[in-house]
Amino acid sequence: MADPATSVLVLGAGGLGCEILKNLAFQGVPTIHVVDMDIIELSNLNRQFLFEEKDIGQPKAVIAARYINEKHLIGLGDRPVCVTAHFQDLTLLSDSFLSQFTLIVSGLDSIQARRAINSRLVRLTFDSGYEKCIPLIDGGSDGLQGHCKVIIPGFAACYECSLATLPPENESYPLCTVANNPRLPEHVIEYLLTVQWAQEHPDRSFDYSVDEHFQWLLNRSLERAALFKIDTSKFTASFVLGVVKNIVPSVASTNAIIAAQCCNEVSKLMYNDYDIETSNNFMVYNGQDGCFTYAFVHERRPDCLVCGELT
Amino acid sequence: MDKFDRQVRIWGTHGQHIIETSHVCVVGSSPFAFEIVKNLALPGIGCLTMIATNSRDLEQNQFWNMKTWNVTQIDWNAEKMGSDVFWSDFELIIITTGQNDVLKVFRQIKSPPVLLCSTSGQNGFVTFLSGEPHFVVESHPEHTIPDLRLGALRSDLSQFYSEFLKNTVCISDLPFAALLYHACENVLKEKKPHQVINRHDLKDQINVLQNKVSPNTQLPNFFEALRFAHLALERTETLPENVIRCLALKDVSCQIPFNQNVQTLLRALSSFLDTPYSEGQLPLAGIIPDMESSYEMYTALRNAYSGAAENDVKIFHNLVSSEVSHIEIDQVKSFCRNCRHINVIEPIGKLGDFESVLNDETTDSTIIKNVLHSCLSEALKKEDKRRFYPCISFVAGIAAQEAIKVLTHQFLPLHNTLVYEGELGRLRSIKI
Amino acid sequence: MLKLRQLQKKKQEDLANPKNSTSTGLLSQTTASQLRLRKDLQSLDLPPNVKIDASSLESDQILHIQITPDEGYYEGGTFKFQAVFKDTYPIEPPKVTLLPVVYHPNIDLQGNICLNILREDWSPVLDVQSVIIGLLMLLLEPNATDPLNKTAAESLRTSPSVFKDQVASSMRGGSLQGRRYDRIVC
Repeated sequence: MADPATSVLVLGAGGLGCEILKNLAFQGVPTIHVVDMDIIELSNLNRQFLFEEKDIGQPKAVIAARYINEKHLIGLGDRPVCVTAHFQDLTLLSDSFLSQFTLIVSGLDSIQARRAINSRLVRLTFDSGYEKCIPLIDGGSDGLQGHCKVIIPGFAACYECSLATLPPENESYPLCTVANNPRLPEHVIEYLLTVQWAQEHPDRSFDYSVDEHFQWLLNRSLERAALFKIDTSKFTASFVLGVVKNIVPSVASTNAIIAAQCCNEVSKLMYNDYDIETSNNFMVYNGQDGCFTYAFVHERRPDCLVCGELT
Repeated sequence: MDKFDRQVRIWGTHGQHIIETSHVCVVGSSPFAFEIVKNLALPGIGCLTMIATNSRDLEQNQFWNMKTWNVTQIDWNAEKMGSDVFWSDFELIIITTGQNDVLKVFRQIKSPPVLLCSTSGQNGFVTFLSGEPHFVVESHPEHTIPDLRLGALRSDLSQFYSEFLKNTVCISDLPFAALLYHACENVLKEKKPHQVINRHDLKDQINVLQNKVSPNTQLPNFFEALRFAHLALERTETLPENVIRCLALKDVSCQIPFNQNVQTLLRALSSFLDTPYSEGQLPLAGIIPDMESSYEMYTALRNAYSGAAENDVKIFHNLVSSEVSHIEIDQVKSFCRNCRHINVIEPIGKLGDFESVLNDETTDSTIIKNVLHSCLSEALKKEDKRRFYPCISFVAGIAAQEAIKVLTHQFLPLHNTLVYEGELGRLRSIKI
Repeated sequence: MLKLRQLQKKKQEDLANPKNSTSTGLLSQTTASQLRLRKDLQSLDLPPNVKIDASSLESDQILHIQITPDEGYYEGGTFKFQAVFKDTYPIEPPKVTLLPVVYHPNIDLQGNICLNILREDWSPVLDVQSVIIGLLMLLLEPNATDPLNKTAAESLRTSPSVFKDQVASSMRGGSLQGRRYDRIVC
């Protein structure tokens, strides 16, 4: 029997977040909180089903919570399912706020935010001498691929333990190639962002969301591409933005699969089906060629800078 | 920025166009069926029909905004739905229930491709049924070998390389492909006729060349030449196994328009391979990887390959036009670019074949059979319904993803059954 | 959550036994990247001609690195670099720039540096020590095949002795091709 007092914090109300919130609601978790600092954009609507076009410009966390609350679902112990929204930066959440949750599920797109919450949770367990131990279930998706990690401070590998296995977030090219021998459209954009922008605008940093900056990038890209005989037809706004923002392709089905895997782990923990020290805590998914999942135990690193001291 | 921007980056605007003009039917009215409908409505399936086979799950029905998604909800009607005609407008049917009156119909009729899927408790499965082969034109392999053909250069390309090197004063900035060509030439000069180049000789020769221009420091392009030396030894005139399998199916009877188009292209490919021009090789992709080199030399090389590929497309298009005229040049271009990686899978032909395999006493058959039968009993306790909700959501995600792969003919879909065991968090692919 | 709670209880009991409490207080209010950076600095083993200044590391995330090569073309020059470590460290490399304007084939006039480990070959297993060694190597052995300053690279390739004179003059604050360089020798 699951405890009706269970409360879950969801980090991120994006593609994974919407799925996680919906699953938790149908799983009957009565107390759900969601934190997200983003506002809704048109390009979210191919997967973030708690939002509609009329919500564009509104905070994701607030609209997602409202959608689920309006459905008046009944959860564990016949308590109503209630989602509380926090429209804010998750790294600024206080320890006492985090301490109130049984579990945390994250559907974030940044390594930084994950590292931040991971070290906070490990510290909570450390400082409280194991009185507090909040599992973090971390989902991530990229195109038709994704992962799910179960982090239990002091018992299973923390996020930092697996850091060395992560590929760099941005592709990077040798500076001399970028400066003198650009051969790819990406080389052109990289030069403009790392060298030429600072030369032309020493007082301002580049911000793609400012129309004037983005237009500058588009215009200069075409000039520089022509100079080095690179196909200028490649430089569409969508392509350039993809490179600058490092846009990760995203589709509803992958988010559904990864969020479901995360919430399945939530169920296992809630219903005591999860063997804390021996269960597979790391799962990768790939749907590019057939469908493939691989789950394994990621061992803790004894010399981990974040959880190494938690013996 | 477009609403579908993030997924167009996966399957392109042509893939999105197929999705938006597709008719898909989901048979069932359980939470599982609703989840699938959601996963298909979001990416923009043009026309979605949901057939309720028993009472609709009320909680689900009011949770989802079915109206904004323009989903047609109708009730199961064995009489009306018992004939081929009712189903013929759909490109894909997704059956989410093991109800006998539904399965009975599908045992008898000739239907478009079907994904049969279901969940029960923590388990679930998805299987692909179709009376004809399923061609995948853009398989998007994760790792590809650059299409340089150095091991068996066609005369247009070898002519390019030989002139390119004649005009090169200093080889220190050459892209690795040209370095490999140059090294092979030198090795062959020292060999007797009909002797083949081995990797060892080739690597030695690359080092000899490097020592001439830069005896002390390793140049990055020479480093790449050593790393990719195997490309010069590849026998690219032999067709890949996946292409041979596709060609073997070029004349079997197909009704699905997409498959018919692919067969036309495959017949043209067969003629293309017979032309003296192709020297028995597939059309060129026309795309080369980045190579350390001066941008001028790289541009010359890139233009040579893209120019040769354009020529291939022209010749290929003429071969297609001699057969039919309705295949557009863009489709020919895409086919030529991807034809090294075209693939075909053969789904399970009939529902009856699938069901008869389930009678074998294997673990997988037992799991599938249990899921198919128990998904009918709505007796699942309220608590278990909550506890195992994520399993429903998981399998519904898989089913929708495979549906999109099947519709767009991009990415290899399930071949041909997936079994999910939620308790172990494990998804397995099996072939029935 | 019963299983987890039981395990926690056991740990709590172990901790109550004073023999087992080993806290060194490392886990204070610091981010993971700061922890890593601190560890990097503790394990540094620098040659005498390299000095670092970590005084603005906590406040501005900037590490100052000063290298005075004792051999090679740049012998005797004082090269002040700044390395900015964001919270993304060590997933992303630090952003390193050279502060004075210097005549060097792999460093442009804005101080951008062409060094593989600072860009395409960075990996989270590299650390501050590797960055400093990389910079030192770049000063000891400038490389004409990866030019950022094309004139300097061309000069090094065609005539190392001319290049040597040019470097010496530039380090004294001289001009080359109408471009003034900063004085970095005393």
